[in-house]
Amino acid sequence: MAIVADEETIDKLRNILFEMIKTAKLKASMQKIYLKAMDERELGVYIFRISNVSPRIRVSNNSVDYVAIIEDVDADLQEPLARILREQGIIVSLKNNVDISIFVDKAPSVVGIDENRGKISIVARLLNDISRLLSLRRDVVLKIIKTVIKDESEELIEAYRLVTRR
Amino acid sequence: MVKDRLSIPRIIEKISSRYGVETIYVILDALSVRMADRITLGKIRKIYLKDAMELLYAVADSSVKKFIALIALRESNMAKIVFLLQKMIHILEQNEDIKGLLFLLCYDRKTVFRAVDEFLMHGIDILTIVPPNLYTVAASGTLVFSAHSDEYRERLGIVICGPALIGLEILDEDVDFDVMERMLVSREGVLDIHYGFGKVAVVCMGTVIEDIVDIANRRNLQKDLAVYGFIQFGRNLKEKLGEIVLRYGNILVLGCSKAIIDDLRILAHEFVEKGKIARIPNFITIGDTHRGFPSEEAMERAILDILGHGKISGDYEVSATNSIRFECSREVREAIDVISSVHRKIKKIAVLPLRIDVEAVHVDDLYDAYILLNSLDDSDSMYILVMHMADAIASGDIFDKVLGVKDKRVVIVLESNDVGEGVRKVMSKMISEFTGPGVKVLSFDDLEALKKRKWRGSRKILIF
Repeated sequence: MAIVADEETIDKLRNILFEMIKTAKLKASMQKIYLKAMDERELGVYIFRISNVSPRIRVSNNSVDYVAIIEDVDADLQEPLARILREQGIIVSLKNNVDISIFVDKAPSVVGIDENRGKISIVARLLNDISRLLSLRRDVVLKIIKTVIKDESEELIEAYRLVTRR
Repeated sequence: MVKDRLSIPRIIEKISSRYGVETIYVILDALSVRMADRITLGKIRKIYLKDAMELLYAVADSSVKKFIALIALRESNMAKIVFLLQKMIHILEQNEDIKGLLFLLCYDRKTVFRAVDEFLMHGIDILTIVPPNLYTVAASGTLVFSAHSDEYRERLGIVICGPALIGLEILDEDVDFDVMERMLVSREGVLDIHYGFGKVAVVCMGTVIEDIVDIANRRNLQKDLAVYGFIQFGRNLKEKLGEIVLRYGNILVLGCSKAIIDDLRILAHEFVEKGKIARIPNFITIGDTHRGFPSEEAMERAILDILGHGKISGDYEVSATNSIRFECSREVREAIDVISSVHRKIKKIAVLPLRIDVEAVHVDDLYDAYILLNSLDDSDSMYILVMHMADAIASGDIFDKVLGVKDKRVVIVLESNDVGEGVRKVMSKMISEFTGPGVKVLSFDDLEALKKRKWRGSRKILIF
């Protein structure tokens, strides 16, 4: 999974994700790497891997099956993201934030979140998708969010409830 | 087996609690300060020092018997660190009960190679470890602090941590020091890896080892390849390399420092002259060892090609790096926006590892920023210099010079990158020692005042 986010968001998200993986009795790793675009500009991406054996720590072409774009990314910088995404992978971002023509070769499923609902909804959607993958119950995820980020959890809990209701 | 979240700060905590190390020396730098901030174990005492020389005095003078030091390694302080290590050997020879582990934190892979080259070139006879994973970082703690390490060479260890490990956090099986101690006793303290029994030798070091072993496993190449993963340097390295040269006709060198490649070639020539081998082995080095880094696919293709398994066509590969950079905090971004909004011509300079945006000029250190400020001749522009507080203190003399740059309007924004409140206060106090006439100090709360300010004259403004 590749996550494009600022450090503040990723710090909270990292703790929640690791707690979810711990609950599911799996192994995981998170690492920040910089992907280089054609024009030599770099995009900071957090690579999160889930596995039942020790996860590998390198990224290559077609190695990521889920991309969450929480921060705004230039169209030029989306090109390296398209390289690492697997065929028929999933992209989650705010609506109109992704240039589909760049990803078209990979035939991905694009989940566009309404801009009015804000970036927190992307985080909520991501947590929902992972909880489904790990077969974690909704109440377990809510409990993890409450425990991990305590006081600032209200907004995320609200967004998560909204996502899971659909 | 119990699982735990592991990262370098967490491993340091584990080493500390296992072996009773209660003092951590932190040499001021953006990276080392951030690492230290993530070490939260209560009984650990963190001592912040301005530069590597202060560490020398601290070790020589204090009654601390076991210590860990966090030092950020840059191209600019490499010579200082080599000097520090040479002097440290003398201190350890005279004080038999001191044990220490130095973590050299590298911003990029290039610095890891440079460090290995420098240490080999200067004949630093200290246990030097380039760990391929976080468990090896823990093992280096065991090697240094466990009871059997008595000789001075073993009482001081250097762990050269590359960016791949610094930025990594895993949820995996917890470190078992009992198993590690037993394993190290049975292997006579050697961490190096030898895998496979083929006729082509692969020589590699650091995090590349895991990739090569992974390729060998995945492609079932154990009978074709003999992987020699070097983790420990400085001791018996020449003998180990000599054995490889004597035994193999085809040697593939992947992701190794230049000194190792040169050593292999020199040894081969020596052996031919002495008649130990009939011809010089085929050396194939992949990737420009000082600049680039081969991707796993590139290494896989090269290995298969050499083994005669045919070429595999590959697409243009994604280019990725894991160099350490820090994004600026929200306050700093706001400060830059406010200044940009009130002045027409803005030039932004950021001292790495801090990153602002694509329009900014990113320089390696404060010295480069000083030269840049002096060389730019644009009196209309307002310069915004963004740097980490720790870097400003560590390179105090140059920071003083930057504050003294004439005829330029400069706003210096100092980032503290979420370090603890206590450390931040101390650093702020140290920074205020630099201020004098011609320098105005503001805090992020005073940003509104900036809007009303008349931007005339060359008075420097310091914001933190």
